[in-house]
Amino acid sequence: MARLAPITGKNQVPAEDHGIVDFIVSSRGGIQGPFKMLLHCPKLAGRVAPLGAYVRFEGKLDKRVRVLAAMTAAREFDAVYVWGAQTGAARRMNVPETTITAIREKHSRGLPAEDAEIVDFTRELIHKHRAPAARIESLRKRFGDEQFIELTGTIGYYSMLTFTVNACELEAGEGAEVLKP
Amino acid sequence: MIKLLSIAAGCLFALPPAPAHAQAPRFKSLPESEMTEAQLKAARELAGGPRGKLNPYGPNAVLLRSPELMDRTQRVGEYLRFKSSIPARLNEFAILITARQWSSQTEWIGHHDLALKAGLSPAVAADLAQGRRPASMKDDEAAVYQFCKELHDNKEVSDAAYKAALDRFGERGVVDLVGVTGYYTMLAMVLSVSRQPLPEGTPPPLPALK
Repeated sequence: MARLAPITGKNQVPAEDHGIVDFIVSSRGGIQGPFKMLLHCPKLAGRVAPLGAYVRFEGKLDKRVRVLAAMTAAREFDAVYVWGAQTGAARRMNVPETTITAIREKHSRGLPAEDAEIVDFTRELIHKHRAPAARIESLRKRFGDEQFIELTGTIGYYSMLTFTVNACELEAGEGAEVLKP
Repeated sequence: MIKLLSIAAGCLFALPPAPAHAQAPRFKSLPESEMTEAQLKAARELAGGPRGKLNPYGPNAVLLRSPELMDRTQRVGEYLRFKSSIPARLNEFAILITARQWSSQTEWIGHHDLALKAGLSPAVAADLAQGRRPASMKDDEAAVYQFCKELHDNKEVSDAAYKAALDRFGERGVVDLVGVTGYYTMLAMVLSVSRQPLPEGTPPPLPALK
């Protein structure tokens, strides 16, 4: 049970914020995960949702790169809900089980070099709060500055979500893989 | 006037070389003349808000490499800085806790004076800068400190710390407090990879922690 009562419909927020709920539902098909918690402050949810829409659906970065970064952030922050959602997305994108397992078990063995680079960068940033210069140079060369910043923003955005999920003890969605500590 | 300026310029040239810890920034600052249409639009949109200008030393100047990302990110920040339900003294304190957690000199510089102006005691900020649990916190500051430190350090919040925050700030307040902590963590990541320069003449305020 999450610590805050999940907000799942418009009738739980003030009328002036109904547009915010409409945006969340129309961009994502429903009120999902962290937004069930964030909507206890509709004005904040209303600003996080467009950022998330950019990170998830818009943006220029390759979608597979995004899901690798998001999965790794979920694992490293032990965010149960985000792990469930992102492993689901990864499987729909045919990310191999060996990759998902490596991220779950916190190693990079057997990962193709271009995947390992994303996973390792995410781990370095989260745990050491910085990444080696060579890593950053390589990523900037691979993606260019615009998409490199989008990658960093993606890691940051999902990290931000994990804080909400962790503080509110939000469990995995129905049918999603449940992360064990 | 001209004489004064030339003296000032002389002083600048006489400054010692940058210390070894000041690493070269990875992204050069973007003057308006070099911005694309989309970057210009995003930068002006930000400047038209409560911040009043795009800070060339801050994270938004880096995020501007992806103008749409910057635009949507800064709108989250605008809420968390100017419209949060958490009182400014505690909100700025929470930002400083994240800045210390990430050793983000830029975040500390950007928020230390704001925190003091909002009423945080200099002694509390000084202890925090040293990586110590501040000795003389007010009760509400202690509740914020405990909640944010647990979230950062343990990736979870104990029932006691959660209840203390909920009792004091309510459900919306908890969401705001978690929001500001997560958001400044995201910005700290952007600042870390970009190695944004500190404003000229500003020494790094945070010592390295063991």
